Order: sequence, then structure tokens, then C-alpha cells
Amino acid sequence: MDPEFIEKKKIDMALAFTRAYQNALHEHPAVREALCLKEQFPAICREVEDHHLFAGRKLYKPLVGFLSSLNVNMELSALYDIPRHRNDRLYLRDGFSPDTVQLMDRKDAVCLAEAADDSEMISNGKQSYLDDGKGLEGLSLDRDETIRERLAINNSVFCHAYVELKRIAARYPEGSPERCEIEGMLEFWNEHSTRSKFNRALPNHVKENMGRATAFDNRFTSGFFRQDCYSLDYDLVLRDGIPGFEKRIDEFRRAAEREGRDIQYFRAMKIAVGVLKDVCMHYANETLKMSVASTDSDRKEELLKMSWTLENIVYHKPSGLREAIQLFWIYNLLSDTYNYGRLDVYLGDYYCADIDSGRLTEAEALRLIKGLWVLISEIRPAGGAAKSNARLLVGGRGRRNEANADRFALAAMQATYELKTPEPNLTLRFYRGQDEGLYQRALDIIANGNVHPILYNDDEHIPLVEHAMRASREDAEQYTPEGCGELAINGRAFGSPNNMMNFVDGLNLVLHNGFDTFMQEKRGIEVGTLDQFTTFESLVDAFKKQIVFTLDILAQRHAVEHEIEATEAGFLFISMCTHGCVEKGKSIFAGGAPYLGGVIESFGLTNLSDSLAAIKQLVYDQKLMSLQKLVEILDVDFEGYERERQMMLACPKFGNDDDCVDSIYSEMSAFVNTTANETGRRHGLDYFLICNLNPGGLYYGAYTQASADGRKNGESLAMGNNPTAGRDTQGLTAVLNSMTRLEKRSHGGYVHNLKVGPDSLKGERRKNFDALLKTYFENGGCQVMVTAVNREDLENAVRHPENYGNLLVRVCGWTCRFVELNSKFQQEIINRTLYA
Amino acid sequence: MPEKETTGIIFDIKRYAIHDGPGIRTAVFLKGCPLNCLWCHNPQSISPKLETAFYKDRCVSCGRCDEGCRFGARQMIGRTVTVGDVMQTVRKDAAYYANSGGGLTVSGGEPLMQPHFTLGLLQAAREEGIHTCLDTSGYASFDILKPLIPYTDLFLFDIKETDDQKHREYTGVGNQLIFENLRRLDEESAELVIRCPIVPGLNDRPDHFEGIRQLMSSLRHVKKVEINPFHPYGADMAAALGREYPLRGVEAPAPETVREWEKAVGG
Repeated sequence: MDPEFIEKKKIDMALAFTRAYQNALHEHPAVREALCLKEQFPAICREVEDHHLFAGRKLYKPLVGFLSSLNVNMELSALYDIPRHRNDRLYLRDGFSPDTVQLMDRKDAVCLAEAADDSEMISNGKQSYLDDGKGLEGLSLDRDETIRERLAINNSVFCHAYVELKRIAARYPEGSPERCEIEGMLEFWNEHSTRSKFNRALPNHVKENMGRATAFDNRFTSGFFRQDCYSLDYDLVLRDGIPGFEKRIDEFRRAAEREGRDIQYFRAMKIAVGVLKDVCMHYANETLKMSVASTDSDRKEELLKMSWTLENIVYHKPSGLREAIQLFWIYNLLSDTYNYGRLDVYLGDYYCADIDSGRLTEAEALRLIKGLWVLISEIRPAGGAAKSNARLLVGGRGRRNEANADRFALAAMQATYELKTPEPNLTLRFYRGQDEGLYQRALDIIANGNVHPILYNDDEHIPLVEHAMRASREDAEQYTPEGCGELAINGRAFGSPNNMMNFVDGLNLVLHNGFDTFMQEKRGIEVGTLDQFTTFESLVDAFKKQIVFTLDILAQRHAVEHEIEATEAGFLFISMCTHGCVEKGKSIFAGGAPYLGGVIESFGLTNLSDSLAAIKQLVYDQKLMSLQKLVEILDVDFEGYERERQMMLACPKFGNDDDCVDSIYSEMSAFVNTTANETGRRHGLDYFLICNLNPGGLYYGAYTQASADGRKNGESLAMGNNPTAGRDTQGLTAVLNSMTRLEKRSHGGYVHNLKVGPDSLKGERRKNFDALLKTYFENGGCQVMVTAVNREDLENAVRHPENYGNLLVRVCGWTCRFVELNSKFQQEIINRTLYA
Repeated sequence: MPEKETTGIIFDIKRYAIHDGPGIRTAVFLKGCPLNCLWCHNPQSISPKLETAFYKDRCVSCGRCDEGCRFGARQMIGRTVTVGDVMQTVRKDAAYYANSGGGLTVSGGEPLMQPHFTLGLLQAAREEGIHTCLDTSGYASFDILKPLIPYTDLFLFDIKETDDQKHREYTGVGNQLIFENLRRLDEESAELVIRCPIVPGLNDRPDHFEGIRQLMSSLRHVKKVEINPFHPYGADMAAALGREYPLRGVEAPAPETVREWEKAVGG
């Protein structure tokens, strides 16, 4: 499509959206949202492409719009020369180049959102992020604007693309009506965007004690503002289709009326369902037109089928798999959700009915499933890394139609096997007693070099979720790992991972009485000087004090998010497929969702434990050096102390089934997990869970000072519940035994990577590998992600990426084509112990 | 009753060992071997004493060798441990053995060089219900072998060379005692897996394969004959120990070749 035409469309839509918002300023927030959504959809819908079997794609991210997860501007070129003051030297020193940032795509992009926090703080009168003024010469913008400009930030909920709007406005002459209109709109949203409201609502002491930290700094703590890592129960819309869905809303509306409750939310839902129908009809018309225009007879017929399907789902409940997938996909588009939940439950009955009645052959059904997979996998920039990190599940307890769901699950695995794309992140839940065929098929597929499905053990996760979220057994059976593996309950529990914590940095703060040696300023609380830590226990206590204090700040911050979210909008499409919301006529944030909590992304638990183990052994048990000396050595990054570093490296390391360090790991995981959850509850969250699953170990590590486990400045931290790459030397059973030492009653998802030689999964050896995993899961293993790969293949792929386009690796909570990773990530993966 | 305090010298404990007997196993490698095979892939196993390996390229010439090298240039090979020490590690994976039909493998070196320790390990494992394998060259008096039979679920028995003269050439000892022990184990109904190291240019000969086939036909309790194809991984360790490595330059055979060998011994 012509870029100018698109830009015109974008501006028109932004203006219309803004007018709708302004006109509805005094309406119920849910109604205001619904009226705005009418302007947004189908305006931003992309036309169907030639290879698509289903309709429903976004053409662009709106300049002004209503969005939830993933809502960050992807124009990362703006980042190429961000003035990062102290970080600059890291750039230079480690070759941690802006390319890294680009390839990290969403993860880093999300980090940018955090920088907005910073910019808000600046406008709130905080000391400038850019005090040294480095990199700002020649720029005429004021600082706040510079940061917005450079960081290309969008925000969540009601939000605007500040940078792009500025750029467009600048093309018109100053004072021209077009420019004034756009600038007026900008000014309005600078005031009214949800993110701005959030930043205004954050108490000063919370801002202060976040230590002005941003995810972009990758310091001790930081935070996002987004709605992410949840999935909806699509059964609520798929079982009875749009007509049944509407009927249900009406029934509860009448009940509310009878009881004299406010019915504004019901009014909003009705408008929203109207938008859903509009989008279906929009695509029905589009595909019909395309069918008429098509010269390829097969495609003509396919498009016609698509058109009928789209029209049908408006008026009838889905009559088969094709209709069900199409409705699922359009609803999903409107809900702005990137995790899909239990697909085998929603689609299993439709799949089986079609095949059993002869309406579809298995091959035809598989083609449709692959058609859905293609749409999911395309939510990513061409050639980019994991984009939406879309997760979907099959298998597990609590499926109302287990036999049918199992059949769908096998077909879903087949689709994944045949397509071999990084997404969707197909996940198999399993439990003792489940049809063994599913699990075995999963291992077959993994053995073939596909890192999916990811394996989740229900027998551990269900009790975990029951306890951690205080959920009923029935609800806990609906648990879902989302995105990278953050735990939620499908259509029931909602908790965005909007808080970050780097434990290694936390320990560094404690070893410097709150002073951040990297940023050269105070960022922690004063917990005592080194001479006061006369015993190992006193040091650990000090660390715990710092954690307790900071978790409290994070919980307060998260609670403010919920306050803002509850009053800002209705989150209609999310709420309508979350249990309880339609019944109560309330959004998930306003009391609708059964469980409303939060998740903390944590980094470096392994390195923290290894560091504490080294300090315990060298300083307190063997008294080979004083704590002061140890800290001095870390502060100079081991310069001149290679021998001491080797002593630290020789101390026990997590991942070797060594109780000295594993017991510290166990204690620390129990402490942080339970403390977080208790703290969250004190601040009104139903749960507040620590997870450890992002590949952030690498880029957080890049900004983390040397640690007592022998890790130098800038080296990667361990990822997830794994040993630091290469420090596990005692064999597969040893590493798995260590991994089971994790606290398992209060966490929000920890991931476990295993890198094994492909031969380990083939022939005779497969039996042993099966027994290995079986034992691990019986011993309390929660989860595992297996990458079957050779060292030679990885090394050759670095040299000849052109020959290895299909080499998939599980980085941490996400999957990537190995050749699309930057060299630091590639090296980290090569460094991981390969179990042959 | 096994003697938990019996000590022995080992040079490694390998977990998730899947090449030394059935299932998932923990292999304990005892130090000391009466043979001196040209192709030895564990040269550190030959001497029965503790020794020091020196990796020249890791040495930074700091001169603090006496403090214990922190750079891994000097590494002590071998440690003295008790049966109880070893069992502490072995029992950690008991659940894995149970699910895979695995267990403990006592290997070396030559375990029969440390008969009391070997017996102690096998007995201790047996007492805990852990399956036992003994990996041996069979070069010892049968008086040493015999008491181990009741505690060994499976013998992994090496046939290195069927020609006696060549056996002397390749390993430093003749094969008569070995074959005699094999025969007597078979008579005692011991379960046997025969393992044949095959080295290109040395014993990849038709007459050796024929010799193996003949030998097998005379035995009743052989479950399986395995080929252990040559690999040159022992070279670096030999260098670090200042030992000769006579097969320098010999390469590992191609998988197709290995399959042919397997056919040749009727495996």
C-alpha cells in the first residue's frame, strides 16, 4: 500500500479516535473505550494476504489508540544514538552495540517504555537523567522532549506515538491548520495518556526509591507499565459464538437492571461486540471482493469460503473448525492478546466433529491449523527475533473435553513439527495418567531439532498455583505459562510482569551500603558497613533487608497501576473472556477478575547463590580473605587478582548437585518468592510472584559489576533456573537434581533450559533420556525446555549463517532462529554445557 | 557387610554415564591398570598412584606451584576415597537408575587392581538395591574375580585382541589368562557383555573378527557383543602426563566402518 495513503489513514484515524475520546470524556470509562475502539477497528485492519487462510491482521500500530500488551514503538532505529551517559563506556568496552538493542527487539523495546518513566520523572522535577549533557549537542529540543523523541516511546492503554506524530507534524509549515491540529492532539495526549496519569499518580517515595532506575539502565530494580502475560478463556466466545455471547451479556445486564446496579459496563460491552461484528463484516466484504478479483480458481474458492466463514460467525455459532479458528483469531486481534491459552480445549470439539462427520479430512484440518500458526508466526518483523513470543498450550488437567482435546493436541504438534518456526511457543502440559502418546510425540518432535513443545509438569504446577495464587484446585488446573513462562490462570488470573529485579546488583548494593558503584550514586538503603557483617548470616540478613524494602516499593507501584487501570478503561475484550467480568459487569481491574496480581521478572538468582556460597567459603569458613578485600577485588574487576578470581571460580556452583550451594539457592529462592507474595498481599494484590525466565541475564549482566562467583564486569548472568553457562560439570542428573531445589510453592514461573546433543534423543539412547526426564519430573521438576543441537552446528552457523536458517534454539523463555541472534547471545548459547 | 571405610584411588566419577552398561548409570573410574594398551583413551588410569597432569598451555609461570595451581595447568589426578564417599554420590541418582534400569558401574583403569575396594563398592550398591556392572579387562587371578561374581549383575568384559602375540604387542600382556577368566565366568553363569575396542590398522582384521565370533560361540551367557571404535581423545591427557601416545595421527573410524565391524563380529 502507498505509504502516503497509509499515513493519511493513520492521521485520520488518530484524529477520529481523539475526537471520540474527547466527546466521551465524561462517559463511563468502559463506554469511552468502546466508542474509541469503534474508530480504531476496522480502521487499522490489514488486508488479507495471498497465503492467508484466515483474516485478521493489524496494518499498523495506531498513532493514537487503545492498546495493551506489546505496546511499544518498534522503531528502534531511534535508539541508535541514545545518550546513555555512563552506559556509553560499556558500549565501547564490550561491543554491546546498538545492533544488540535492535536484535533484542521486543524485550529491549519494552525496556524503552521504562525510559518513559524516567522522562516523566524529569518533568516531575527530578534530577535529570542527562545531567552531563553528553550527546545532546546541537539539539534544540528541551530535555523531556529529547528523551521522548529519541526513545520513541508509546504507552499502554490510551496512548500515542509521540515521536511519529512529531515527525509528521513537522512536515507541515508552522501555523498551518494541519500542523496545529496534530500538535493540539499531541498536547492533549501528553496530558491524557494513561501512562502520564500513571506517572502522576505514583507517589514520590516510590519514584525516589526505584532509585531512578530504568530497565534501560538494567539496574537493581525497574518497572514497566503494560498489560501483558495473560490469556483469555476463548471458550466463552467460541462455544456459543457471537449470538450466544451477546445473549449472555444481555442476560446479565437484565439481572443488573433488576438489582438496580450500574449498567454502563453492559452498554460498553454491547458496543464492543458491535465492533467485533463490524470487523468480521469488514473482512467478509474484503475477501469477497478479493475472490471476485482473483484469477486463480483455487484461491478464488478459498477466499469465497473465507468470506462465508466471516459472515457466518456474525450470525451463528461456529459450525466447524474453520469458523471457530476465524472467530478466535478476530476476537484475539481485538483483545490485543499474544498468548492464546488452551487451544486444544477451545478447538478440540470442532476439530473432531469436522473429521468424524467427514466435513474435513485430517489433512485439511491440519492445513487450517497451520494457517493459524502462520498468522501467529508472522507477528514479527521480517527476519527479526521473537516478536510477540506467542504461547499456546495443549494437554494437561482440567480439560472439559480431554479425548477431543488430545486429538487436537496431536494435530497441533504436527503443525509445529512441519512448520518449524520460532512461534508459536507450543507448550505441552502433562500429568501422571495423561495419554502417554502426547508426551512421546512431543519428545519425537524435540529430537528432530524443534525446540517445541515446551514441557510443563502439571503435578508440580497445579499445587504451586493453588498455593501461590490462593486459587481453588479447579481454577489452578487452568494455569497457563504465558509469554516467556510467567504464570497466570487462563481467563481467570491476571498479573502483568511489570517489575524487574536483578539480585546480583542487589548484593552489590549491600556490599557497598546502598551505593551503586556502576552509576556512582546511592540506589539502595543503608544496611550496614562491611565491618558489621561479622558472620555470614549477618550479611545474608542485610541482603534480605534490602530485598524486603524494595519489594515493598515494587508492590506499591504495582498497586498504583491497578488503581489507574481500574478507572481508565473497561479493558472490554480482555474482560469479556475473563470469568466473572460479564457476570459482574466489571472490568478485570475493577473487581471482575477472580484473581488480580502481579509478577516480578527477576534475574541472577543463580549468580547470587554462587556468590554467597563463595563468600561463605572464602571469607567466613576458610577465612582466606576478608570481606573488605573481596569487595575491593570485585570493585577493580579482578584486575591484578586473577588468582583470587580462580579461587572464587573453584567454589561450589549451582548445577552440580552440591549441597553447599544448592541449599543457599533453595533458601534464597524460598525467601524471595515468599516475601514477594506476602508483600504484594499487604498492598492488596491477590498475588505478587517472582519469576525467572527472561534472557535478560545477558543484558542485565552486561551492566552488572563483577560478582563473587568469579563473574567479571559485564559477563552474562545465568538464565532462568539454570546454572551459569558452562559452570555445571557433573552431568545431566546432577544439573537436574540442582534444579529441583527451587522453592515451589510461591513462584511465578522459572524456566529450565537443557542443551543436549541430538543423538541423546535418538535410537537406543532415547530410552535413557526418557527415563531421565521422567525421573526429573517425579523428583519435583517443574518444567524443561530442550534444545537438541550439536556444538559444531552452532559454530558453523556463526560462520555460515546462510546454511542454518532453520536452526532453532531456546534462548530462555523464548525461541529464536540461532542465526538471527546477535553474537553475544550466540556465544552464551555456545557456552552452555552441552550434554552429549 | 560391605566395608564402608575401605579406601581406594579413583580418578573420576561420571554421572549420567550411558555407555557403560544398561540405563542411566554412575561410573566410578578406579586408578591403576596392569595393561598398557596402545590406544588407551584414559591414560590417567594406568598408574595406580596419584599423579600430576601438567597442561603447558595453561601455565602462566607464576611460580606458585606449591600453593596448588589456580589456573588448572597443574592438576592432581586421582584421589583417595572410601566406599562410603563414593556411595554418597552414587545414591543421589538412585531414582534415575530405577526408572532406566541403570545403576553403578565400577570401571577403570582395572578395578581388579583394587579388589577390596571394588568388592566394597559392589556390595554397598547391592545392599541399596542398585544394579551393578563391573567393567574389566579380565586380567587378574580368578581368585580375585570369583568373590565379585555374587555382587556383579553384569560384567562388561573386554576382548582386545584374539591373537595372543598381537595382544602382547598392543597391551603388554598375553590374552590366555583373560580368556580363561572369561570361560570360567561363563561357567559360573555370570551375565556378560563383551566389548571389543577396534583400532584401525591394528585389530580391524578379518581374522580377529573371526576369532571373536568363534570365542562367542563357545560361551553361553553373553548377552551382547559391542564394538568400541577407536577415538583419539586420550592424546591430550597422555601429553599432560608426559606419556607416549603411539597412535598419534590415527583417526576415529567413519560410522559406516563401525557398522561393518559390528556385522563382522555378528553383533
